[in-house]
Amino acid sequence: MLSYLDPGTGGMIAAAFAGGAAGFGVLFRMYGHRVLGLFSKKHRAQAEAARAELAVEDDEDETAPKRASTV
Amino acid sequence: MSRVYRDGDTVLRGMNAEAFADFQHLAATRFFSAAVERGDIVRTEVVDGVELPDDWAGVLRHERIEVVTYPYEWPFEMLRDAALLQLRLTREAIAEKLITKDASSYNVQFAGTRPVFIDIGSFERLRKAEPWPGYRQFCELFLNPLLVQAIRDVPFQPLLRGSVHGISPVVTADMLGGAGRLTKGVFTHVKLHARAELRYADADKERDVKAELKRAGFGPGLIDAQLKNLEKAIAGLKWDKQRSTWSDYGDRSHYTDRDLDAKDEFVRVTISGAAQTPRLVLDLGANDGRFSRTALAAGASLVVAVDSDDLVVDRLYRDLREEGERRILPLVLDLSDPSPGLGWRSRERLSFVDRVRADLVLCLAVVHHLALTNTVPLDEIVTFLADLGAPIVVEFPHRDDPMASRLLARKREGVFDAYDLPNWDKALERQFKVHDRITLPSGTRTLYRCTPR
Repeated sequence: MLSYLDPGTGGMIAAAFAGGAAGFGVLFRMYGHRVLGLFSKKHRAQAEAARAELAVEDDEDETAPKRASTV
Repeated sequence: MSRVYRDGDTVLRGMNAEAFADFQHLAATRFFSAAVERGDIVRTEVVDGVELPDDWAGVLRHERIEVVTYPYEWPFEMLRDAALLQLRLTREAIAEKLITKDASSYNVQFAGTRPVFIDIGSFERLRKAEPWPGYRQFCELFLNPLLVQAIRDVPFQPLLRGSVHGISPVVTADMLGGAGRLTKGVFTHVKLHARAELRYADADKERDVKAELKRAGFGPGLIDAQLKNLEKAIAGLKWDKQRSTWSDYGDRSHYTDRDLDAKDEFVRVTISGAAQTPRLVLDLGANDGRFSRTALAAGASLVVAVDSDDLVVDRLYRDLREEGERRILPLVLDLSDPSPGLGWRSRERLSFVDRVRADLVLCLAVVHHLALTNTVPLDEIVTFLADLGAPIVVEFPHRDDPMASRLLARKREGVFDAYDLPNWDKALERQFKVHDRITLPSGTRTLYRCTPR
C-alpha cells in the first residue's frame, strides 16, 4: 500500500515551518479555519464550498494524491 | 512532457504542446536570458523547420556538455555549489511566475569547474496555491547527502551511487540521530519533514490537510521563503575534514625534482608534439592536479582529473574555483570500482567508461597501487586502460622503486612475484603499441607513450 501514500502534504507542512513569518501565517489561518469551523455554520459552509472548488482543480491536476479507491 | 535525445553530437529536446508553452514563457523572461548569458543555464535555441511527430509541438537544441558527470562522482563542494545554483534559479524563476517542477542533482552538470543547469524542461508556469514540487527531491539529492557528510562525516558518494533517488528524509533522520541538532535546516527539513511525511502520508484520511493549507494561503511568497531558508542552510554547511590518506601527497616529498621534471616534460611533449592536439585529457589518480595543469599548459582544452580520495578532489575543486581555472573537471572515482550503469534498465546513468571518451589518458603513479594494493593482475590493468580507447601515457614503478617496495614489504613473499618490468612490458605490448619509453632519472620508474592496438 506504500505506493498509494502521498508525501506531498508532509512537504507542505515542512515548507510552512521553513517559511518563517509567511509560513506561520498560513499555519495560523489553517488552524483558525478549523476552530471557527467547529462553531460557525457560515464558516463551515464556506470551508466546504472552498474545498469543493479545490477538488475540481485537483481532478485536473496529475500531481493530486492518488486515492486507493480509484484502483 | 519533454524528451531529450541525441543526434550525433547534437543534443535535442522534443516537447509536447504544454511543455513547449512553458518553454515560451521561460524564453520570454528576463532571468532566463541573464542566466544563459552568465553560463548558469545551458545555451538553448528553438530548432525551426523540422518535421515533428504528432504529439510534439517543438524541438530545442542544447549546447552539448562535453563530459557528463553524476553527483556520486562529485566532492562535497561541487554538490554544494550545484545545490546553490538549483535554489538560485528556482527563486529567480518564481519572481517571474515560473517554478522548477523537480530538483534533481542530475539536472546540474559541470563545464569544468562551473555548474550549469541543463534541464530546461524543469521550468513550468507557477500554479496558484501549489507547493514547490521539487522540495522532496531537493532534500533527497542535495540537502540530505550534504548534511550526512557535513555532520556525520559519512561520504555521500557511495550512498548516492547506491540509489539514484538519493537519501530520504526518514533515512537521513535515522542517520543523523541526535547529531546536528543545532545545524541550521536539520530540524525543519529532516526531522519535521520525516515526521510530517509519515503523519500525513495517508491520502485517504478524512481531513484534507493539503486543501486546508492551500485555502489558508499557501502560495509563491511562502515558497520563496522556504527556498531562502534552504539557501541559508546550504550556505552554512561545511565539511571540516582536513586529512586523509592522500591529502598530503601533493608535496610529493618522495619524488626527486628531476623525476617530476622529466614526467612533466614527457606529458608536455606528448601533447604539444601530437599530430592533432588532444582536446580532452583524462588524468587518472590526479591528486592535486599537477599533471592536469601540465596538460592544459601544453594545449589540451579540458582535463578530467579523477582520484579516489574525495578530500583530495574536494581540495582540488576549491583551489581551481579560487583560481578561476575552469578547464579542469575534478571527480571522485575509484579506478578499481568505477561508476557502473545505474537507474532505469541500468541505462539511465551510464558507466564512467562508456561516458568519458578522452583523446589522451594519463596514468601516472597509479599502476603499482592497482597491482599491489587492489591486487589486480597486470594484464587486467592494461585491459582497463585499453577500454578507455585512447592513447595513453603510463608510468610503471619497478620492484625496487621506494614506493613500490613499501607496498611490497607488507605482502607475503612470493605472492607478487609477477610484478616486474618484463611482465609489465609483455602485458602492455599485447594491447598497446609503444611509441616511446624513458626511464626516469631515479632509475626506478619507466614512462611509456603508447596507442591501443
